[in-house]
Amino acid sequence: MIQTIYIEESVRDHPRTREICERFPSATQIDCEKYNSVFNSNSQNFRLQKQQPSLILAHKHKGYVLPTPPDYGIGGSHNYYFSHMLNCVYDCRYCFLQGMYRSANYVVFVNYEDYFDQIESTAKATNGDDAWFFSGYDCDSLAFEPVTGFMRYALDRFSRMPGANLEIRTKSTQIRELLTQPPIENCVIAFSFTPENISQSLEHRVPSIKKRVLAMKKLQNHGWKIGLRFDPIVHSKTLEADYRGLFTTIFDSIDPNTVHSVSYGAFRLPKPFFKKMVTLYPEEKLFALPLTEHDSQVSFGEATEEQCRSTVHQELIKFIDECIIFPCS
Amino acid sequence: MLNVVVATKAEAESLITALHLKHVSATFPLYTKDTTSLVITGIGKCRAAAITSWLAAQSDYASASPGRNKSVCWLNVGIAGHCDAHIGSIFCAHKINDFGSEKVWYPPQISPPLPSANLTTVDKPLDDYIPDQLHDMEGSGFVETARMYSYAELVQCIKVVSDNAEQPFSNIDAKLASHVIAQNIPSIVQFIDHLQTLATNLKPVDISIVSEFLQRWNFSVSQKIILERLLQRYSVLHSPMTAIPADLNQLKSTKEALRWLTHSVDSVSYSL
Repeated sequence: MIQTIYIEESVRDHPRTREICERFPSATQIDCEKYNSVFNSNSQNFRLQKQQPSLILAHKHKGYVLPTPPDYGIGGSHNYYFSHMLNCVYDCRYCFLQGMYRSANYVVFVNYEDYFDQIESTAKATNGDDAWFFSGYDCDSLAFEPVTGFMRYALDRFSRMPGANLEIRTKSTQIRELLTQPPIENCVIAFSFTPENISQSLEHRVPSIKKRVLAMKKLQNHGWKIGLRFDPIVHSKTLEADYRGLFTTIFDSIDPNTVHSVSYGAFRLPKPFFKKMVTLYPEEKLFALPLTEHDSQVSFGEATEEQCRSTVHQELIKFIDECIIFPCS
Repeated sequence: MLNVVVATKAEAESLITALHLKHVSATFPLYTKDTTSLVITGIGKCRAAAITSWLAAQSDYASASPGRNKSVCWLNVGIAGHCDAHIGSIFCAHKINDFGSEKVWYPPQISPPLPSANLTTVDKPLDDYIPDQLHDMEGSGFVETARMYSYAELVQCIKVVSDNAEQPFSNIDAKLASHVIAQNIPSIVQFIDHLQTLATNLKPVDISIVSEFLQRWNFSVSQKIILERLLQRYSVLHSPMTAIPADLNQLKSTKEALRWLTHSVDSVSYSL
């Protein structure tokens, strides 16, 4: 439950600000001139704030849509991402957000329209090529949906943009809104997973695998396109058995033949993010394991990464057609 | 560890009693017990800033890792004016505005067990109260300085209303200041408990053995940083090292010692 809401002056009277604030009638409202003065101020501790994050409502002025890093995608020729929200309600210890942001508070940019105007113009500029827009890069796409209503708005806009494809990436089971409407052709709901033992150790506050699989099954039965994301793969000595177990759990429930796409990627973090995460969680075993630095990235090392990718790939092709599997690096 | 900063003796009296603090001889009026210190700064933000820094230096000398212990709780307690809040009502500040410089700080609110309010720090008492604001004379000086030594979440201001439009600041005397703080001691102590519980999240990994390493070998500054991280990893992957193992102890050079430690943490199997 949100106890404190910071409201940027420029959105004080925005209808969405009012709507969101009404959801938290007992929250303390604090005015701020610019959201940065709260979110980016010095001396904040991400770990302490994660105990009880506040909500910051703000206006985004530019950079609504950005190109994804190379090798991030599911087969499209033009790949972009967008973030209506900064930070995630979950607390995954491997997540780069802990290293990227000074604050664990949730920022929601309420001017949704501006995002989709830019998405529309970006899609048009690709001249009919396959353009993909990824949501869920700086936040979980669905976990905060009951508060923001962003995806409800996004789906309405994408349903009128046949040249643009939307990926909604999530670990959430907040699918009520999706089940109340007919699926749209150019949208994939992509669920992220790690095996049970990794999830238990590292994915704090995340719904169980069982609940996520059930949510996925409901969406698939409703006609939504489903994606599977296995990123990051966190190496362990029982990797093969762990992923075999995970895939069995998933494909016992959902139909592999109608899965839209599958992607995977090994655990890696930019070095400055990793250093900050170690400072925040020095007792975390994942960060104490033998990791290597290469090209300003921290990972399990090239050979181990390759072993991870290869193991997951080999286990996946027992269930899934190889042509819809996309490795990410 | 807790550092409390208070402007006057009258405001501090009941806190000194409640926290069982004893006066110690120092440059400024200082009261301590175990890891809790309270300093009396005198009135005004410059004095608050300067003496907050002085107290940080005192704590730092006593610390095992000077300059690196950022999990210290800092609390400014004092009286404040408010346009219409009742005399004796208590708040923690959620936004601190320095009236002179117009600088603003937002003390992070992590489930505070007190109602919160805006606080404006002024250089001299104002004739008219700014609506919806607490008014004090130390908050901005304290918060700007204390944040240099700790995390923003652990630097907080508690203000008890001593005057309002009906009972203006000209009525305030030491007795009133002392009284309004004293009647809120249970809430202040509860807030201190809350802050200290929060700080326990930042409990460091035990690498107290590092002092034995530093006595046994001569590490350069950069080697010391590497050593500390290796000992941290050792502690997490095995258990805190309580004594230097015999086979490590017989190694002659720092490089050999670091290599031994590296091997001991890099040879663990991948399992969470």
